[in-house]
Amino acid sequence: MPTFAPLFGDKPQKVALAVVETKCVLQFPESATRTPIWEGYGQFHDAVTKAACAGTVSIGGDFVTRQDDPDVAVVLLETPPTPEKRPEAHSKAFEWLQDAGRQELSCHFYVLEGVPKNDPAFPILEAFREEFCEELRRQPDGTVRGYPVIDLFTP
Amino acid sequence: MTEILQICQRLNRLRALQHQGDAVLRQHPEHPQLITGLDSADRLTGRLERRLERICGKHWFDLFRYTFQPSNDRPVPAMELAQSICSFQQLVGVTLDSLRTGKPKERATVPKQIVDTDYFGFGYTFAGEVDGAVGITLIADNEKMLVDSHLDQTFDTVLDLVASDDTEHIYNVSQRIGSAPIRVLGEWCNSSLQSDCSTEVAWWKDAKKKRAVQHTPESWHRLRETINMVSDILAEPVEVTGVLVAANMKTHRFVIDTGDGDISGRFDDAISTSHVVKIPHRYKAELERFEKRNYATDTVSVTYKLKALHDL
Repeated sequence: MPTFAPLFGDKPQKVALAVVETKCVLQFPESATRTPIWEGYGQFHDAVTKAACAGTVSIGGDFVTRQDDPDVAVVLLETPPTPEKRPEAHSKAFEWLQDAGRQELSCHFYVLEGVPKNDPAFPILEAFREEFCEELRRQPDGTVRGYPVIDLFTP
Repeated sequence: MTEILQICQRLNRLRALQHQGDAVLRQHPEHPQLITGLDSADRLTGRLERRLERICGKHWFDLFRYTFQPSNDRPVPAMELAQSICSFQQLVGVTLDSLRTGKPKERATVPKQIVDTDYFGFGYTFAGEVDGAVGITLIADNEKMLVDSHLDQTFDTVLDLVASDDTEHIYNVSQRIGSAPIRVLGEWCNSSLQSDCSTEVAWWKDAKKKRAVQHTPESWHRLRETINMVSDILAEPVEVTGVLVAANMKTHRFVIDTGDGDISGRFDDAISTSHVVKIPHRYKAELERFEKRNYATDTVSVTYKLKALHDL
């Protein structure tokens, strides 16, 4: 698999959504796949912001490289631990994401909800987090690339 | 190859984590964050597998997914699992050697060159669809050819043999590749039977499942029976001189003492009311010698039929 130069250096970067759009979509006007991927991402972003999900969204995959026609954007939503029961709106948003049809939006969506450190699932979810980050940053030639991290709504 | 190995390594890590996650979920079944995490991990695993298939196809690597599913509450026995894979590997090696050289194999030896370049590499493990099932993905370096490579023909032949329930078909294949592969197939049956597991072997090529064979312990047993019936019979006329020491007109069996040992067998009309013989008496005997070689056990049994007796 060819390796393309990353658009966000070699480390994760906190950026605004508009920066991602500029760097990954608007500067590739000839690309056949970047706009559909961005539209797919837009549906996801609307769903999680409507649900008032807090946390961050990281975007990786060949979408954040200089490849003209990337295949996919890898999207990881991470939410902080919720003090009580998970809000109903979050559940609906996650269900929306898990729907098989959403997974065909040229974006690969992954969700990780935070849990307190004393939660029995904490070490496993942390290890999953490392695997998802590997998916975001790993280039086909084994090197790593940076990727944008977008802050979501903070209550 | 680096990318393939990296994906395999990641799949192994993810599978282990999912397994741990499932264990925690059994203790805390109402854990929504873990359920969501596992669901996402499952999607990542699926995507890594598809990516691996794609990259392997592009670089002419074939994948074999070998699944063991226990038929009782016991975990899959490790030793039989390993033996079963060894037998499968040996069957591929012996068959490949025969197809490459164009000579039937009578001994189940695998040349070093095949061991060094064509043996399977370990990819990653996966959990089967039922509790306790174990899956192992093996990787084979295939040749880039316009027509089917020798390895393609080997995989086809091996999966064809293991799916067969026809003694004659197995015999016909053995005429081309030799008796050794049939013997190793028998060993594969034995180790699979000892494991008491259902198994599936699926061959993936160019990111597609090209062929798969499933066996339950019962169908392994049937295959074992089918192979046991595969044999060669070589008939040749022989003449011996010896003393006819017994002849049973009811069972139509005789015994001749040749001095070096007894020869026994059956007769039809070599001894009858129209061909009366004396016992004990020295004769020159015309016999037909049948040598029957069982392919599964590599054992030879010899029987005789008496054609005629001549007075000396």
